[in-house]
Amino acid sequence: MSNKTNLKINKELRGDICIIKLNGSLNAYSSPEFEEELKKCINETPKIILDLKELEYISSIGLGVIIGYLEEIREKGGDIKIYIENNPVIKEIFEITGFPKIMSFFENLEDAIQSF
Amino acid sequence: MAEIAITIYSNPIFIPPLLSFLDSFLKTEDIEKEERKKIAIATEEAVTNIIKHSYENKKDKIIIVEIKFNKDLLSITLKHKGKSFSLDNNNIKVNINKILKEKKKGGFGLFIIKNFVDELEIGEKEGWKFYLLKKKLK
Repeated sequence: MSNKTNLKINKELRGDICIIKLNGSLNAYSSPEFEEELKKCINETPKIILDLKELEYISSIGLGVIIGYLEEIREKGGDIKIYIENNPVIKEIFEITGFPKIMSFFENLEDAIQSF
Repeated sequence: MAEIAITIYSNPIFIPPLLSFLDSFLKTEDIEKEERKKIAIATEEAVTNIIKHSYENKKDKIIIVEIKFNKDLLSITLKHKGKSFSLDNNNIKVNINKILKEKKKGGFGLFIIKNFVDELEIGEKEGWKFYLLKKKLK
């Protein structure tokens, strides 16, 4: 777990899937730390699930980190899938910015895992 | 009417304490959690825009945040002395496929603000540039 900023990051490998759980605020201050963890995950596997159930805030910079790596990951045969449950404001941010057009969202973690 | 102001440096490290301060203020006005989150996110986007575009990531500049709550109207004014930022209110759109294709990492900020507040004004007055966010509550 990392807690240098106002964001806690937990990583878990389930088979060849890397699950990154974010708790707190993914913003201009904490996004470099998230980006580092995402890059470490990509080096291990291109199959990534972002668990955003406990995420309190996400800013445009956080969205930018996610979309910035999406094509690279897909070129490696993987994907980023979003698990988000009972978190209406965060889900609304993804919806209004159009992310469901380009990424898969799940309300159940097991469904997200099975989708790979 | 309730009114309060805080001055921060243009360093992202000060965003979390600013948002905590804002949240505490809104709690005293009995604003619901989901609304407080949206206001915080919109405020953060405005601060981030000022730091990135107006102060070009210089960390030692000043941002004044004025928060006013009058009846059911919340106004948040963010004042700075950096570069002007023009706003075309009718042309704030996000093309997610274009952003993905061009591997851009931005372009969401103003769109998020526009969706989470009722009014957004960007302008200049009395030597200060400003973002004015207005939201009707309750």
